[in-house]
Amino acid sequence: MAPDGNLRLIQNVELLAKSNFSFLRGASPPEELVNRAAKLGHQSIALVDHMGFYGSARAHAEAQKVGIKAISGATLESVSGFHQLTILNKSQTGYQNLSRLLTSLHCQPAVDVFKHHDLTGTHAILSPESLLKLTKANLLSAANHLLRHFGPGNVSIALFRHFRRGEERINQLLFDLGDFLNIPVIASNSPTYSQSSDRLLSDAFTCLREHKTLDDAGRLLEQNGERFLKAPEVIHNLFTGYPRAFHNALALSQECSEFSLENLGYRFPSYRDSGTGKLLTDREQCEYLRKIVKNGFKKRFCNFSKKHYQQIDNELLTIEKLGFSGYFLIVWDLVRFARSQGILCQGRGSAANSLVCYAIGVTSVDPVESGLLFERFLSENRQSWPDIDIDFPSGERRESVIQYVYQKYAPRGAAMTANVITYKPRSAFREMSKILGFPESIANRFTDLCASPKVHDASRDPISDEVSMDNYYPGDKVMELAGTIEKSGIPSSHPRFKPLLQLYHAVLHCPRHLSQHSGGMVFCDDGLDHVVPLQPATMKNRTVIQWDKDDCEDLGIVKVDLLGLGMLAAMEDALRICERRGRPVNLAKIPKDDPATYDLLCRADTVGTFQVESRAQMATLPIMQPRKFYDLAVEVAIIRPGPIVGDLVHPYLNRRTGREDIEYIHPDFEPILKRTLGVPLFQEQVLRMAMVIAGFSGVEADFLRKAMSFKRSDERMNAIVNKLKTRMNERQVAPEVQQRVIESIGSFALYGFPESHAISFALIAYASCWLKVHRPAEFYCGLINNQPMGFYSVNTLLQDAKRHGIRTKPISVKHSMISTEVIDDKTLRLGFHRLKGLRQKTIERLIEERSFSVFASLDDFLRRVRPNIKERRILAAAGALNDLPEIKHRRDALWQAEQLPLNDLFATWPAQEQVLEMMSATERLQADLALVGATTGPHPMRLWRKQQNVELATSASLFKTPHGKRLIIAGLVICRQRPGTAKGHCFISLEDEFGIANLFIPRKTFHQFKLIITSESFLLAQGRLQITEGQQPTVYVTSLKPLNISGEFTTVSHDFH
Amino acid sequence: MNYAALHFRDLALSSLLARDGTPPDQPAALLSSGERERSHLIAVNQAAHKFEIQPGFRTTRGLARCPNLLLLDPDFTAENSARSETLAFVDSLVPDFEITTPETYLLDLSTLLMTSETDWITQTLSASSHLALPLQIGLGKTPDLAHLASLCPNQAEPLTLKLANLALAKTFPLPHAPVLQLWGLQTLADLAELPRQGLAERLGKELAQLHDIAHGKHHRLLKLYRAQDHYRITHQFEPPVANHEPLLFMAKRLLQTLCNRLHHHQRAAAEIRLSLSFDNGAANTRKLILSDPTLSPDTLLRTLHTHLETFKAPAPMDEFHLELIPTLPRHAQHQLFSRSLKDPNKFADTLRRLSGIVGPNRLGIPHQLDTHRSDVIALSPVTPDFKTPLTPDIPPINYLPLKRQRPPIPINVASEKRGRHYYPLALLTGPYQGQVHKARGPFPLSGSWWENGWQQAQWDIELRNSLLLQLAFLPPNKWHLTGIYA
Repeated sequence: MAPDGNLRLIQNVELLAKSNFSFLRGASPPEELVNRAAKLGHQSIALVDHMGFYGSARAHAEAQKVGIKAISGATLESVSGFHQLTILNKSQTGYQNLSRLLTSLHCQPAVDVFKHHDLTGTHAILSPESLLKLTKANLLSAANHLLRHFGPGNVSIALFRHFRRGEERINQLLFDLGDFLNIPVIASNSPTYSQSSDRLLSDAFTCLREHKTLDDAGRLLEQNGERFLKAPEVIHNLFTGYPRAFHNALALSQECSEFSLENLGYRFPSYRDSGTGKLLTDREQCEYLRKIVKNGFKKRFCNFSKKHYQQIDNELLTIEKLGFSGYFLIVWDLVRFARSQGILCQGRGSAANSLVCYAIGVTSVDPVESGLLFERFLSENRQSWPDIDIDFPSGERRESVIQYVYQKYAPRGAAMTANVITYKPRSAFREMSKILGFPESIANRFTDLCASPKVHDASRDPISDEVSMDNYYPGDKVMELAGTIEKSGIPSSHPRFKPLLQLYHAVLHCPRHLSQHSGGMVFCDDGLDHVVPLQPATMKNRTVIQWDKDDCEDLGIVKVDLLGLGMLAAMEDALRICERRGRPVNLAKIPKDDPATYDLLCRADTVGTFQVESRAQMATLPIMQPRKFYDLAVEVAIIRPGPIVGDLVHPYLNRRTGREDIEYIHPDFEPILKRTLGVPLFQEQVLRMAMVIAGFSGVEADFLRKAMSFKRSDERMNAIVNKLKTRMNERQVAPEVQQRVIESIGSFALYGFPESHAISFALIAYASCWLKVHRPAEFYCGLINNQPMGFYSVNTLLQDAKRHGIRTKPISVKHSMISTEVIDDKTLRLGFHRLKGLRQKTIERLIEERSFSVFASLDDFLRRVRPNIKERRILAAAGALNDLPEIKHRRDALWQAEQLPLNDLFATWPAQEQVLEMMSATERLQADLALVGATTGPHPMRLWRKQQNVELATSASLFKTPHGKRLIIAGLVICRQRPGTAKGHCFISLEDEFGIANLFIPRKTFHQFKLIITSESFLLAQGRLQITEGQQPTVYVTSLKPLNISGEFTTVSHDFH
Repeated sequence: MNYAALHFRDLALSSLLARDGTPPDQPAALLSSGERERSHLIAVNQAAHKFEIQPGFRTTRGLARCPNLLLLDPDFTAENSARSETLAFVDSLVPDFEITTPETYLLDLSTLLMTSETDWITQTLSASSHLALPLQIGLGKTPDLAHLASLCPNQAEPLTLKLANLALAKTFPLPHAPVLQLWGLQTLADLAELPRQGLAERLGKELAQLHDIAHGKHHRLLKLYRAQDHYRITHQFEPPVANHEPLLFMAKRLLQTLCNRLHHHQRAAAEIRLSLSFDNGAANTRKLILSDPTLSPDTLLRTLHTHLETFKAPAPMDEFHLELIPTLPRHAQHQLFSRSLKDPNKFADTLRRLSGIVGPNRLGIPHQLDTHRSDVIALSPVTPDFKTPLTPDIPPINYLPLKRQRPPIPINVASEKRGRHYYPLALLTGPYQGQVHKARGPFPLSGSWWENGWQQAQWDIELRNSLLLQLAFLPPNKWHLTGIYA
């Protein structure tokens, strides 16, 4: 308390706090700092993170909750001669200026940035940490420099009291400087953590930043733990000698408090007319949208119903009322650009509920025909912007669309949203054990002990040697973690065991660094850099903002997701090949009721297709027997963690097959759940159920949707569930109905699909299946050219192609192109892109030289293409030189290519004798798998079977084997799965020369043979056959052992994803 | 055959199995050092081979194939001990031999009288049974052929040796093993069949040399081994002696002998090891490191003398062992501008005498440690070049000279708690007492919280008589006088 007892005189602001978003310079989250400040009685707190506004959005949101002011600012480092300089924002202009300044510092560091930037509205604070040498002359020069650039009244001097020797002298020096230049002094503790106990993490971060261990860090560490957020009265007691410092700090905080992040000055861009280049007004945008909707409508429909007409009118009115016309136009413009470049794209998510989106070509689903709910996408009650996600082919094609956006809003008008990478259990342990001086091998062991398979079902049968890292909550499982650490090699009696545990828990979930979001882009007409600082991303020509997607959403910044989908790239490739071969396909026009496509789905022949190729999907398809498009949408949505955990899969299939009666939880739900046989499978259904049973308004339903999809906290979800319960109680809904409604919502909170999203995905899934049936060569070719993607390796895809009558020719320097090509309807030729270790330059030279004239000999090839020795060996070992004259076989090529051609004009190439023997079939297979990742020759299992006399079951013979028969089966493991929903059981896909066999390994058996399962590529499994529903054979495994197959094969499998 | 090679297969693993008496049918493997879970197997025994376990496998894969697999971490002590035993064994067989690798010895059989080679092999194998180590013997007309033959199990022909095993053994340069594998070459015989010129043109001269070795066209001299025991002498006193004069008298004579031996092998002494046995059963061993390798018996004797002057024997001495550790002699010329000592050993001798006076670990160059703790220093050893240790650049924290109390003096202080800290009011005990006139502080310091953490709060105080002192408060209730400002 102040000496005169007046509480108002006590400073109750902290103006120089740094959060853990200062990355290795602060130890507490912004939310915690704000919360603590409120508890201690501070009126406001300024977050001045290192070189950015990283934590300010979160601090702002928390401050609104706890009712104090969060002031924004940043600490600049090594700028204009200052070691550290804190700048606060006094106004919106100041915020925008500092944001631009930070962007420049990140993107184009200059010597004297203050000269080239407007600093109006900003306030600089000179502190004891501003200069490396705090001499009188240095301080005077620095203060004058600041006064010159920021202007009188916009500079303060901060005094610290951290109980350090010599601090008093510095404070007096600074105080005298303030007196001399008439600069106000302010008191601060400049906290880098909220509570004194957080000093440990602060020291740990110092070590990480300086690349030292705690033992070596010496005086780099803090000399005491005084840099925590202190209560106003404590600060007051520390600075009794400088009473003015409190008043000045309070006055400065009041000046800065006039601006908050609510007034960012962000505005979603207006549409710019492509002809005139002029920004359209709101009215013009509405008219323009109506015009393109009308045109699109004509293209989409020959005859449209009255319902369509009413719907489009209703949607356009809503869009105009909410002022979103520009948003639709901009998304339309993106899609139009992509189409003009021949890039496949399709809107997904809730946008598919909109007929406007369908009409303007953003989505491909007619929502009226599919009975989709527009309100799920947009309604007058909704406060937030609509969410349109667009899928593009992954890779360069998507990048060209992203670059289009960058160019369109250049300079600095567009950027990717950030993704905050946090310390996960493994990285937390690795870093903390490192700074404590433990060897790396300890962290490696810990990582291995916690590695996949990860499932831990503690409720059933606790298995002490496993820790589920995905579901790890420190509070509940400390003992389990301690056990794991002990097993990693640190006994609990070790003096550093407890510090390690403590640091591990402290650092877990702390931000580690920023990366970029997979596809979220934000853009702005008049420069995004005045809204939020931008910084260069690791990828060339990309910038990223300092906030993540949730921060953007909280502050009303609109994000458009431009996502990459491998299957779209593969399909685009396939369509291009179809067109080149004179058999063009228009995906929009393929029949949606093709019996051959549904036959393929019914027999689960879906290797390589989109969304329905996983083992779980393939097991469900024969039961589901999809015969119409909506069935496929249900199939896509049903094999998801949400419905599986919610036990919704079996009820739906049981009802579909007639084994169970259809019932609707509550009679009022019948219209909502009729299409899904009384089982709530889609998010829209859950929202409508809440509206019907609890009388939720559109806004409340939207809040429920957000809570279900908001990953950052459970708070929102709990709040809305409580509200739902109260409303249902008020309406006297039966307790069992209440229970079932809440369970349905809980399942979706895990991961629920909106119906529109399922339909969008089903469209791609259907198209991929159609291509597999009707254009198999092009389909496989597209897949191979766009790896890695999907569930299966190229080798498995080639084996599948072979079973469908498509043969693949090996790589040849005479015939192959860069990518894999279709030779005819039944033949593919592998491209050079599959050869590991061949430089792009060499491939291009090879193709170019070959276009001039064919290679006359190996000598000719080596002279013209000039591959290096490694490449020569790769080409020879893979058989790519076999088509050249004088080359008898791969080893012959290896012998000949090992020696460079003689550059003597008169020398003749010596006649080659056969020095090396031809490769055996096994050796060829080994070379193919190692160098190409796939073989065009026989399956390894065929070679193995040739050498054996034993009669074993095969994947093909399983279909003819009766249920319950004991058998032994062998094969190559192509997929191991142990999903969290499988209660500890494991699923393995075993490939042989006839196809793929499914193995089911019960939990006990899995633990018995865990090491064999996880470490062996070829397995011999013993068990009994189970013919499951849909006549699908599965081997119930009782015993396993490694298959002794001659030679080591480099195989790839899809494990524990 | 003129040469024999004795190859103790997987000595690192088999020495452990022999030490523990592990039965031969127990599958066992040696792990790569450090990382048990991520480690791979560096060696496996014959029993493990039966489970198709190969060196290079990941541990988990080995365990998958044989859950009973005994995993052993490398133990260099056991390995060194086994190596000494094998060395002694080979030394007993022939006078001239070479230690080719830690696992392989090449023996010159030309001086040996033997009835037949087969008998010699049988006798040697039988004689090695006490070692309990797997031994492979190879004979050859050249040293390298014998060596290659010893790498083949069951005394097979050297050309049957698998190239993969040869690459694993790392005893012969095989720079292009992956290429040879691509070529489909399995054994040394396959390599020997290739045209030498074609091989040399493609893969270089090292493989051509291996080709020559396989064809017996390459010969070399053995690098003969001489035991280090050569430089060790034991002397017994009868009766035991009660002072060091007789020891020095004997040592003078013995040192001359040892120095002559060193000189004969172009070596110098780097260290003296002196072991004393007393008639009450006690023993004492001391290593005396020489600053400069020497061959001078006088220098060595002086070093011994200095040591014995400061040594107090617990009982009469009945035996002593004197050993010189050899090293290459140093050939250096004193430079005009270099600051090296003319006789580093004399300087070391002086230091040893000083250390004897002030006590062990109390002689050296003091330097401040890089820590916020102000009262700690460390001593680094004085070297002949007077190299000062690298010390952190620590700026002075006070501008007044401080006479530091070592160790600090515990005192009683009347204090008052204000907030989190205790403020000193008066010094009640100790050399300086009285009321605190002025106090500046506290300056809390803490550190090493991760192990043996420390904390204190320092105060600078002024007493009534203008005496400036530095105090430290050590929680929970101790006060120390840590220094006096001059």
